[in-house]
Amino acid sequence: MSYSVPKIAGEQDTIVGRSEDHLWSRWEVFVRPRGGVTHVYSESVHAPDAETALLNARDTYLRRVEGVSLWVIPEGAISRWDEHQELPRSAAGQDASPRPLWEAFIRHRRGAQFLHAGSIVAVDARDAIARARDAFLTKTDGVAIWVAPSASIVAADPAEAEMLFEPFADKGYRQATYYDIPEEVGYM
Amino acid sequence: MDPEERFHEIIAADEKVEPGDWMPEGYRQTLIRQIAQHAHSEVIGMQPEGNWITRAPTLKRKAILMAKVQDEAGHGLYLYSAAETLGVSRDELVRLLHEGRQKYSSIFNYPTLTWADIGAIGWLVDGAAITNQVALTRTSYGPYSRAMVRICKEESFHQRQGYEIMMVLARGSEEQRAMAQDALDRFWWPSLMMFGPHDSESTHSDQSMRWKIKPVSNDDLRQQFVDATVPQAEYLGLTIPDPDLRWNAERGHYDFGEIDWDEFWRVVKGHGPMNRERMAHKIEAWENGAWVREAAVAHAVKRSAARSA
Ligand SMILES: [Fe+2]
Ligand SMILES: [Fe+2]
Ligand SMILES: [Fe+2]
Repeated sequence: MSYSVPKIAGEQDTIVGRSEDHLWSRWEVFVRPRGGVTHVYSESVHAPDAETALLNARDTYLRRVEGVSLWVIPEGAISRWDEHQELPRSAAGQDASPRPLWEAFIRHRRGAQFLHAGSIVAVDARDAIARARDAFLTKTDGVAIWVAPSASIVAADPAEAEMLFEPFADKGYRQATYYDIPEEVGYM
Repeated sequence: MDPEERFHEIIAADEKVEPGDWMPEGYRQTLIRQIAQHAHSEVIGMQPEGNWITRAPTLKRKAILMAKVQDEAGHGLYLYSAAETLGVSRDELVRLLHEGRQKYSSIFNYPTLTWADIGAIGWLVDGAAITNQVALTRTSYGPYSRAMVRICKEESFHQRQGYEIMMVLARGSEEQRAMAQDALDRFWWPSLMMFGPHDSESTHSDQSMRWKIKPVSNDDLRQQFVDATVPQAEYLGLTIPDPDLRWNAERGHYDFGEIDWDEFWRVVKGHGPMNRERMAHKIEAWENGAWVREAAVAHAVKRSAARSA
């Protein structure tokens, strides 16, 4: 924590954009916690491929949270809509092209995390956003929608669930309550 | 509505600004700087504690310390991920750190000389971090606030394992008590310095507070930390190395002495006891890991080629 380090000579003033040299791409991570009803967006990881993305996601976001399911989606596979953009029109009935399956994620209010809302059939990303809006939101709620082709989601293999989710189960010393601290020293 | 107006409305209503929202360039730059510094601190912060993993006194302490250091790596990653929502890449931030153009917390430029230092770090350094981070859960930028909530859930373990180490030493032999006192003597003032310059000196504080990036001022946070920590030192039977420290019934707070600001600036400017070693070690680890990052990409490319063949 160095949010209080004052500025000194030589420090970079403004930071522009991304450097081009990064090797590992970015993956968005979704976790369904034990007892949870849906996958919750859990920020991102960098990885060279899906398998490594799943492992990095486990090590980063599941050190304590007991997950029962883990998804990673390549950053580029997600189409994003928020309240500042015009809502795309649904392409309903406009043509007969095949309609793949999409997964929709909704941020219901500012400050809240994206939640997986369900699947929809749509012609393209714009159509998927429009349909997700109709299917999962009321008039007043929902400030942002993400959609991704269902085929772009890489889910942890159920056969590997033990490897992914169990290693932290027996490490009670990771919990604060493991330590006996007298109450008189105050909350810690 | 005009996006700028909307931004001010969001701030005024104590709502969270989210990645797709319009924001003033100064707001974005302040956040990038602050989140990056915070991320770098978590990562560099692994070094002083990592230094003791092989020498922890028992297998249990070794496992605990390893878990804590792993958490700090995770905290760094949460924060880089939050910074990336502002349009910078993680590699860019790492590069700026390595080139000395971004900073990390000065507290990690002090050495860990004895096992008691591991106790003092958990108790005081994580304690000070918690004070700051709990306040920052209310910061106006959504991804930063959510990273803080996640981190705060994990920090309680860090502080409690540190305090427990101190309790064991303080109840131990004469030598162990002396070791605990020595660690407190060396880490007390640097811990107070973690909160940064006085509010009257702090150049970005005002704008940061208007934007609600920083909800509580440096001096207020420092006072909170002192008030919480003094009874904890008393319980241990250890003495805080400050002759001016006393309860002020009128204020309802502890008064305490002045920080040595010359030392503060010396360390910030790169002349602390460990600045060179920390950066050298960080850069070396990055360079030594290059072949792994490249090999992983080569492997991924080869495999996807085989799949599509
Ligand atoms: Fe921290
Ligand atoms: Fe941390
Ligand atoms: Fe910590």
